[in-house]
Amino acid sequence: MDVQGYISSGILESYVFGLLSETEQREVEIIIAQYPAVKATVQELQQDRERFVQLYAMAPPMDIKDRLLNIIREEETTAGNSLLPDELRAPGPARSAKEKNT
Amino acid sequence: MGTTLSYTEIELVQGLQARDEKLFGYLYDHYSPALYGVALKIVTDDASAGDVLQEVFIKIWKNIDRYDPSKGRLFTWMLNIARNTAIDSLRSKAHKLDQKVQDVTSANLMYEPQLAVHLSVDHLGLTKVIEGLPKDQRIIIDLAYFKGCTQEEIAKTLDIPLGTVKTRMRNAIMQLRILLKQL
Repeated sequence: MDVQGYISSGILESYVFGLLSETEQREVEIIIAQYPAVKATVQELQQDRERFVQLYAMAPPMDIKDRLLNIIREEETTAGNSLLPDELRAPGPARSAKEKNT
Repeated sequence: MGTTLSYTEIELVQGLQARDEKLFGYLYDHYSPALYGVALKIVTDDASAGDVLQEVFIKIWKNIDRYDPSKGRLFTWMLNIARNTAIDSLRSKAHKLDQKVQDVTSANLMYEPQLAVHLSVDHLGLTKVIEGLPKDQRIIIDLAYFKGCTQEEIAKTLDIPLGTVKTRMRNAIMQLRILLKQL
């Protein structure tokens, strides 16, 4: 494979910014695993993206942290579990007990 | 930001895996502004962005075992979660909206508010970067990165050929990289 050509094709930029389809994404990941130079470029791009999003950084509302800490403290309990979004209510004992009952 | 962290990413990951609440708090303090910024940029209203942020951190806490260091740094992984969660939230809202308005106009609705956000986000560095992009590239970045539109959807929305979308997207991101290096 023409590694330099691949790197300068622009596909890695699209990969890092999450703009590829899942199939294309998997193809890129296979290449990354095979070619250290490609991997190095991807790492550089990821850091560029990290810098990019820092430009948008903004302090979130104060109450979110406490809410989160409460949720994770209670996550193993039924009450805590029910605070979670559906897809995250999960493979804990709280769930399986509930499923058996219903 | 990375340089001010007193924990390494490995320590953070191990701490999360060990269910260390204090580390979770630390992670929140250090990364929430960036992740909230991403959410806000995508969903554009404070309340939804707050909900997204909360969901993002729960996902980080619950799914830390799925983090694969070979694919990138912890921050990159968290950014992906934030972007995907925000786009999911946006899509479910757009879907509800679709039930009220015509299909054709919804594409425009999804796209219009973004321009207003550019004007209201007042950040010197950001403004510089975004303004440095030609308008046609800026629109592509908005639709793709912040609205999660596929290249096909962008082609349809802007009524341009798919090949043009791909070229512009590639140019836009390359241009963005150059601009970022100048900051």
